[in-house]
Amino acid sequence: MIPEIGNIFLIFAFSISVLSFLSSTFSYYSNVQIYDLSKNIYLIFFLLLASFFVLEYSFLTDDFSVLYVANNSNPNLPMYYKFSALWGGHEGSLLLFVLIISIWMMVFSLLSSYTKIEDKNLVLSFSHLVLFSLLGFIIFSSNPFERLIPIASMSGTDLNPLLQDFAFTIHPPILYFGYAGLIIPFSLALARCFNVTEAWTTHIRNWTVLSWSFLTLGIALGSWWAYYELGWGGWWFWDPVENSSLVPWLLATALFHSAIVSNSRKIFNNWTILLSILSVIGCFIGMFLVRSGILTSVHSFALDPERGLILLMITLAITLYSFFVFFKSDVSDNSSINYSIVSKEYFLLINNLFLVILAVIILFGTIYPIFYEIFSGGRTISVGAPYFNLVTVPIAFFLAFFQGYGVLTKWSSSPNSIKTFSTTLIVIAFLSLAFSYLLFNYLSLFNVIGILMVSSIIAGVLISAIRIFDNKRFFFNNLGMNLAHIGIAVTIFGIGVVSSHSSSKEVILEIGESTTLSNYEFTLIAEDFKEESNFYSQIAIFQVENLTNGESFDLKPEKAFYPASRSIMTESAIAITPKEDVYISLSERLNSGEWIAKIQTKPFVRFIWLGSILMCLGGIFSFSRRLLFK
Amino acid sequence: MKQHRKNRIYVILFIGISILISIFLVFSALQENINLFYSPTDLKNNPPMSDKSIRAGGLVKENSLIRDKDSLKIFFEITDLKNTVSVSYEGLLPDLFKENKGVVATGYFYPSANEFVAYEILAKHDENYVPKEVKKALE
Repeated sequence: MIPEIGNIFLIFAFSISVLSFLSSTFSYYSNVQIYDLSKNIYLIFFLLLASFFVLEYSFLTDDFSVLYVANNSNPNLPMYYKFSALWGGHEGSLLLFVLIISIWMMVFSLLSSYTKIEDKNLVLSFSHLVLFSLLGFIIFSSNPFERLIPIASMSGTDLNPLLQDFAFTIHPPILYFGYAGLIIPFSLALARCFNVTEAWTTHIRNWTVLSWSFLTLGIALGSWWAYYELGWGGWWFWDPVENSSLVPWLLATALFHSAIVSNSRKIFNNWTILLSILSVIGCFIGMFLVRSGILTSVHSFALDPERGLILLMITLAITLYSFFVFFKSDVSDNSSINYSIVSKEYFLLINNLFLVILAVIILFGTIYPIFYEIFSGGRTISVGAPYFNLVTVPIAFFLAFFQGYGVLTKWSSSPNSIKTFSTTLIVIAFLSLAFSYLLFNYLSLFNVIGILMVSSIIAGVLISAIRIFDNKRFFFNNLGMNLAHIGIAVTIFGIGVVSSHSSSKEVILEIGESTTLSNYEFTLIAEDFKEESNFYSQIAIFQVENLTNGESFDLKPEKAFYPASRSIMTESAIAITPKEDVYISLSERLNSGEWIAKIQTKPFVRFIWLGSILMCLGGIFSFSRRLLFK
Repeated sequence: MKQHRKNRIYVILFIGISILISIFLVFSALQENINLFYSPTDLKNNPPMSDKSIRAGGLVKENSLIRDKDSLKIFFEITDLKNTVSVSYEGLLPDLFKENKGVVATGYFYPSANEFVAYEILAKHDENYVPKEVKKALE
């Protein structure tokens, strides 16, 4: 009975959302005054929250008469993972996603004030459009409350062991906060096409920055998770699902930079609207690619094609609708603004151009196999990681190079451009030499590119930081931006070093045997065994000695077996030292008693995620400052 | 010509050139880095050049897995239930690699020896998930 109540909550939320959209549209065209529809979103939020908890209740009480619970849980699963198992599959994760959309709409509604209530209704109505499309999809074709009658088993299948992990509890919700947040700028942009002009660029800028912060953190968490949980020490695989998150991230990055220009100079207006629309369409394309199973990916849900088709229809409908609105609209720029080629406008234009090109070529590489299959009569291909590395690195290089100087330019034109430019070049040269000296052991062509990128970004931040002595307020205003830019530099630094100077070795060891890698000696000293409620594992104990300073520590990688799903998991063991990670993962135990293992060192790999955290903090700082000190 | 007109032309030129370079970059990178998928039957009927990296997939044939004594070398056979191809690989196997389960390997094919030398064996998150290429190969 209880799951049916959850379903009824969903249907109520869907109906209210549809009604809100229809009444705002009706009111817009008929000029009939209506009441403040933004209050509806509180009701929708509570309904969705209630329905979320109903599903949680089914998970926590092992109600295997619910098909979705039976497919994603197991009585022996620890309580903690029963809770997060809710978003372990297609239906539940969609429910979490719509709940998060309603949270964004509610927060937006609370924090933004409009002089005309119709304007606010109209903005929210476009969010309702997205919300009810997805709610309809959940109710009619991906219902998590669907019953399994007669009950097939009293035990359930189990949550995929890879998902029985702390990172899984936080990675999807945070990533979804990132995606869902982009619906707010999307709604603002469409509302702008219907002449809702009040503070539209300010709103787009702030809300994009906030959702971008979540998106950054979400992607970084996914990368960190893959690094330690997939077992083989990679942090980015150019997998379709990763690309599907990177494309909206790049578009959102372009979007809030473009919104800065629209906000300060009243130009690039149409471009800002277009990017707002494209960011959300990018999210939907990603959702379609991941959830339809059309591409072979590590994340693919095993789904029936009917759902993929419906999702494609929703994506197409939202695309067509928003482009129709966009092309019918008449938004113009301030035509009296001119800018020279050494102005902030021009550098932000370059930023947007390169970010969008990056997004397009990554999306192209991701979906190229689909087109190839269609046009070659069924031959399938895969686009390898080298493609993505080859095309993204040069563009990212120019992006970073222009970024450093770009932050130093001024609106319209920079009078002292020659002076600033030469100062920047000198600082870049100095920083590059300093980095090269520090990283002398790690030099390679790839790293020189990385060092140049990092130096140009930091040069920009440094010189603008020196300028604060003239103007203290300037520093405070730009703290968020500078933090985020340093974050990018830190991430690029990590990527550069770890990509070119990781070392790895695959070995067969018996107890007592040692091997060396980099400046460590690894000795397999013992084996162990442990049993938990839902799995048991074999443990190999390695003693690792640092040959430079004689210190040693133990690492205990595991091989776990989960009886419920009959699957094997590799639990890697990682020692974090200030300079690098020492990483061991077990492959298998041979009949002779020997272990096959992969040992690796990953210098500065933590910088990749540290940089992302800085970017996220910068974004959140920037949003809250603008909110608190308008 | 007015200064702002000139600026506008610079902007358009810059955008145009950037897009052209990107397109060139994409197509040259694509030529080198796409891997065609072959089932064992495809490999028999229509073998690829041995200097081109391809992907081969199907089921790991039962009782075909042989492990070299002192190295990480592994030999096994991939079957689509019509034809088989022998695969050699040196390295670690993913956890979900099992006999009678789906597999996708990337590497080079040598038609004369009917041997596929793999440098990568793909792992999947989900045990019930069969890569769609493999599903098709088995039809």
